[in-house]
Amino acid sequence: MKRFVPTRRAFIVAGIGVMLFMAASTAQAGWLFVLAASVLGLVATSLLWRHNLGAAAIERRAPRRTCAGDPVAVGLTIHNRGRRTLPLMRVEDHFAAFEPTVVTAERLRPGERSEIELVKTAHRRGVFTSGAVLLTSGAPFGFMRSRKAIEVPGETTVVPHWADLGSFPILEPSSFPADVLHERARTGAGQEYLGVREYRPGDPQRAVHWRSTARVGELVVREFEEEVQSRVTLILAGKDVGDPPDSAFEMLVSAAASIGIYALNTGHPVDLLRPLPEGVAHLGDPDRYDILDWLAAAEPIDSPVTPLVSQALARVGRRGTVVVLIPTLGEAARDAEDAVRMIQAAGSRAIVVAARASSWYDDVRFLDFDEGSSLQAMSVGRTAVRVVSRGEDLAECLG
Amino acid sequence: MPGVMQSVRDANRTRQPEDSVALRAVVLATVVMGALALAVVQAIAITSFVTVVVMLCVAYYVSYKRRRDDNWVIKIGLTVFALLAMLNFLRQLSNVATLDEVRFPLADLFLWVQVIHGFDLPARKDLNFSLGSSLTLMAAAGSISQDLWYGGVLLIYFALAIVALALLHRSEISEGATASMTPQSNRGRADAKRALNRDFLKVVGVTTAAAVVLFLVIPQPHAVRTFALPFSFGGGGIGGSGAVTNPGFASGTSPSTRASDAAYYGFNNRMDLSVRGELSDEVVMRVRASAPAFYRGIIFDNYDGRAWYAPDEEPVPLGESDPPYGYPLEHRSLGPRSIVTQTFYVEREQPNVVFSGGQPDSVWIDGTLSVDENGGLRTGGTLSPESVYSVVSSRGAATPDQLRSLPEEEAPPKFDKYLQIPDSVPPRVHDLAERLTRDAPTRYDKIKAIEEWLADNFRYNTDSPVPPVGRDAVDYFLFDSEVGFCEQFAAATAIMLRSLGIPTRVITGYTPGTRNPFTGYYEIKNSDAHAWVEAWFPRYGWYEFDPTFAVPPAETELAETVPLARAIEFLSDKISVAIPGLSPETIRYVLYFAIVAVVVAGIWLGRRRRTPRLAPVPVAAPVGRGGGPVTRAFRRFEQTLAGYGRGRSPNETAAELLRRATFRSPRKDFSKALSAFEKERYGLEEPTQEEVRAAIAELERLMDDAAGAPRVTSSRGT
Amino acid sequence: MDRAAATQAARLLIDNVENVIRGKRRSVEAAATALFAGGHLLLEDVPGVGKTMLARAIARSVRGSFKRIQATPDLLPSDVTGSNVYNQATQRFEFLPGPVFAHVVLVDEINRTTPRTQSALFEAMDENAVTVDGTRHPLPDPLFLIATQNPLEHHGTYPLPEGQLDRFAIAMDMGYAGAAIEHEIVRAQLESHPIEELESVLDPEEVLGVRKVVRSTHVSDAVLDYALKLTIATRTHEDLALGASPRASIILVRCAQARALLDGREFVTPDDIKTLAVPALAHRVLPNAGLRLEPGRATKTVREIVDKTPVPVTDPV
Repeated sequence: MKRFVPTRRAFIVAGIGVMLFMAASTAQAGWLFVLAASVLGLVATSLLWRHNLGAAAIERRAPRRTCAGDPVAVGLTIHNRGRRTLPLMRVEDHFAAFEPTVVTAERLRPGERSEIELVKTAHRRGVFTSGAVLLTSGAPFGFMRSRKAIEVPGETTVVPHWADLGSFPILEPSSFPADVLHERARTGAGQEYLGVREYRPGDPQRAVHWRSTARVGELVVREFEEEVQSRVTLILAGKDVGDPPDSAFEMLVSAAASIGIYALNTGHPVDLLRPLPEGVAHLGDPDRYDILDWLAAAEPIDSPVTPLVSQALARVGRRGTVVVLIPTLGEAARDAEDAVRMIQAAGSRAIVVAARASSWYDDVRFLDFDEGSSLQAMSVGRTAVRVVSRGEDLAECLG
Repeated sequence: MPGVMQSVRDANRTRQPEDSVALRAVVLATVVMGALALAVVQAIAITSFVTVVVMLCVAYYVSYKRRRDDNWVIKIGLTVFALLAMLNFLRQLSNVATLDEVRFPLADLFLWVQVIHGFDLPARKDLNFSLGSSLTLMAAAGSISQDLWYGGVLLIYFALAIVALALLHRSEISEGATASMTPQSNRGRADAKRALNRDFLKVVGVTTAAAVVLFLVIPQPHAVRTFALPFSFGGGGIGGSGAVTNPGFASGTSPSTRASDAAYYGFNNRMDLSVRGELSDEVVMRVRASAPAFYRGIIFDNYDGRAWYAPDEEPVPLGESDPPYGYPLEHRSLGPRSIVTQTFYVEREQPNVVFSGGQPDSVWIDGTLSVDENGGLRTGGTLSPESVYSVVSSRGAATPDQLRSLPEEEAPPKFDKYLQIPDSVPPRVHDLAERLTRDAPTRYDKIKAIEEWLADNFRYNTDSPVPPVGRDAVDYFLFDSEVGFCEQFAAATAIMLRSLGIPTRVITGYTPGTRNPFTGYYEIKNSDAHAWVEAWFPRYGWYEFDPTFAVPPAETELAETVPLARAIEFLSDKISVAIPGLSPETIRYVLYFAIVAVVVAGIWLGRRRRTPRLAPVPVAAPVGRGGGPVTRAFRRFEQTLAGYGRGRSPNETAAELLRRATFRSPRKDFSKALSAFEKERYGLEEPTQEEVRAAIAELERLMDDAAGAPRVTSSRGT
Repeated sequence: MDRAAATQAARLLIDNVENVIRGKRRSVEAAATALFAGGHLLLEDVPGVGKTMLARAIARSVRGSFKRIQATPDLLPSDVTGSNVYNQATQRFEFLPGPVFAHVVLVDEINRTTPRTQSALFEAMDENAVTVDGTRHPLPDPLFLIATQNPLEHHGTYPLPEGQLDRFAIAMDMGYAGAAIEHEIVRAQLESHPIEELESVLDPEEVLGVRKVVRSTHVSDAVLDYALKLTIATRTHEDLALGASPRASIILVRCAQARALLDGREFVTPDDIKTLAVPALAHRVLPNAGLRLEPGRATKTVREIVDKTPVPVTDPV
């Protein structure tokens, strides 16, 4: 939208010129004619001084991936591809990942470039593609104004914060006879044949070592050092409470990121599920970057979690962990009890990370849901429930 | 109470103070220029000017330093001073006698308001206002200015105003900006400065050109209505006798030359037709008039064969003691009249005659006024330089058709003196007149016939032969010499018309002079002194005719008002003098055509260059040469990455580089590029055309991706 | 055999071995590189990470003979090389070949045996033959010797002198593949120990054929210069008392050729050289006296040299 329109100042100055002209003809003072001609000459010059903002080529250099709230360096380059000098311009970058940038760009002769690097903060989690850069110029006197909006592509994914967890109660498989839950899984991934052990319910049939079984008389299975690691599935759902970036859903997203990365670090394969307006989004066996990118695009959607849980259990099977991250209100919360029972029935471990919605209410008197019973329902069985509240340290809440 | 104080303070604090020192300095300079202009046109005294400038500097400094504070104390002080300035102005007003002189105290007041206002200029809009009011100061000075010195100040002011506007715009567009992008050029700062100066000069040049074009083209119409009389008082006036006192020619003596020290001999009781001499080009008067007119001075009624005489009797003082003096009714003409107001600024001493364009109605002059029998106005004494007086007069506005339609009537008896013909005039003069006007139906036509005949058949020369003693001057002129100058033409016309029974009188005075398009004043030179006739029409009275130049003065209506037309006519006159073959009209048409052609050509050329062609993107020459196409493409890829600070380190292989470069990008496939490059670089065989193309395409995609990859990694270790 | 067949054969071997040795592809590839480069392999590592299994798997993959020598302090040279034994029936001394007479020989814990026995082995490796009582008996071709040794922390060992390690084309540790994050798990379809079911996929002749193809892999001047730059730099490095010998350059390039073949290329790239620099050179250099006791010093220095040496990529040709 390139427009070349006169500003209010142009009209005022033209008006002054006309008034000078009238004064001149009244007083028959020749100098006033000269003044009137000069003033009107200024306006005429501005009309002739067209800007060629279209010759500006703009590039934006922003990191591909950054964390919400982190300061990053964002660079802007303007390159004059035309044959005429680009005038003094106001450059506004409306790239949604960061707060709008407003800078001025000095005159650029043909072929010249100017660059600037600003430190900006990514304030919103999300996946951002292109953003518009708005150029405004009014040179030389500000009588005429022209604008041009240039769409500058650029992908930036602002990933959520995550905390380094010291521990999280993920279910570990055990190669020791005692069924002790370790806090840290062994990181060994060797292929070393560890030997045989007695059969435990849930071991795959193909792992049975028939020869030894024949010898011993009881089922014996072969065990490899790198057994199927216990899979962790994270389910993220529910409505948002509060204003992002300080809201319940954001906190749950960060929690999901923290848990997912912790799971990867401790050698567990991870799955992630969340509801979409139409359907379900699923991420299987990601690396940490994939997790963060996937979570960056997450939107709060309040829907029952049981369908997601059943999908999760298909992957996790027995002896896995399903972490359900929901707020304490809404459909997701109401469904939590059923979801937990479902998980436990399948033999997996259920962990609920609940965002205490009441902590985002300014006035708890306006609570229209029963938080206490909600939390109680979630902790049915021996479900581990981690409650996160507004303003609390995530690592402390989860670990 | 503290709450109220706080809210007062907050209300007074500026939201966005203007920080630019350069802007303030330039605006200060424009206001100083405005004050300087006023000083140059002598509207304020030098001491006043110096005080104002010093105080302005102090004021601007204070308002800069205190721009972030709520200056409510200062504002109260300023209000007090403003009131004082107003009171001073009112006091000055009481000393002023005429409306025109109000300009000076008004300019003074406005200047002091500027100084007071200068203490409180925190934000940009205040500086905007200051710039606008500096323009008003310039306008005020411009309306007073009589000479061209003002032009110099105006030029400087113009340049400063352009800079101020540019800086104001810069401040406006930088509102809220956090940083400034300067171009990276290895051409150096000196070069950039030169470019900036060039641009500034370009702007100034274009604006000046636009202003000049507009000035030339915009017509400067005469004042349709006079809102205020452009007059003021000056000195002058010595009591003296009623006879015409001419500073260059003592009364009663015979002049030896027509002009003496910028005085015209024709402004006297007696005008001798035998006197010869050149008139000088000295400016004797400046006139600010609402319309140009022939300024009537002396009215001659009696001819004795050699000279014309004005009434000798003591003029009758006009009744009033204070200006304005009204013109006696008995001398007024009737019928359609057009009003002309004029103010005369005397430069060289003038005779004690009140010049007026046409017939005066009211005169504003400091001194006594008397009127002679013919209706000519006399002052008490000669008018010294710097005298100023104003006249509202009227001229006959009847169209020729209206004049023609007038019925023939006998002139009243008191006009018999205007029919007087001495015996020295032979009858053949009357016969000539009869013959010339045989076919003219009306009085008006008769006058025109004689005018034209004289113009066609007689030559103008100031050095015409002097009529020998004993010969009638008019007769000698008409039949013998056939060459003369304005006095001869006027005298001959008057006599011939009188012989036809038309009351006619000879007038000496000044032609309108040349209008200075800048100051607006008509400048009257000594050589503008002229003689013409007035003929009497029934009912409408006296109408002037100039037989010396039968065609109206060379200036057309257009040239009077449009400076460009005036310039063209001036040029065409000069050229036609240089090249005798061409007439001024032809040259004028040629010049107009040339201007139109230039304008059309300019528009056409400008239209062609309107669409800026994009310069081709220069391809960076790769450093290092040689190798096959894939190697060259890879080199470019390396350089692209290097441009983003992620170039290949010397110990990195191609595969490692590609892996690193594609780590964060969505497209991770670089196999085609890598395999083709390795083949070409390390292998025995060349890669195929297909492979080369695919590799280069892939490298280019990777280069695009590289542009978006991070330069600075975030601190959370992603 | 042509190049494609050679590559296929080599890959076949690797895949076969990986049936048993999972998640240690680099080690398997390195072993294969040494094999096809015509050199020998030294594996250094703590027990239980699969050294034996690797050697056994390679041996089984080649349809050749496999012998295992468990080095003990009381191992005699003749136990390695073989000796002349009096045959009662024929009244003659017959040469009974020692365990070194096999296509693939695994010498476990070579640093536990005496230097005398060690040198017997080295002789065999150098000459591709053993001399017993004056008679020279050639060793089978191809001969691939895999020696293993424990790190020096263990007591009672005779550490291999660094100078002798020159015989091994590649020396590496297998490592806990805890660094690897491979998720591909080949679910063993076998119901017995996978090694028992491992089939042979190559004949010894095919191995020789692959070796020949390896030798014919194109090495451009740039790459050769790069390899030379690396080895020469080891001779002038201030931390090294002894640098790599000219033989090292040959072996390095040879191993790079083998790696190129495994990758399916008919030319060597600097990546090959770079990747094999440490495995091929680190055991051939001797750090200065003061630094010798620092474990991993040689490796660190060689890595430094690799980092500092510019790679020929797009320099002006």
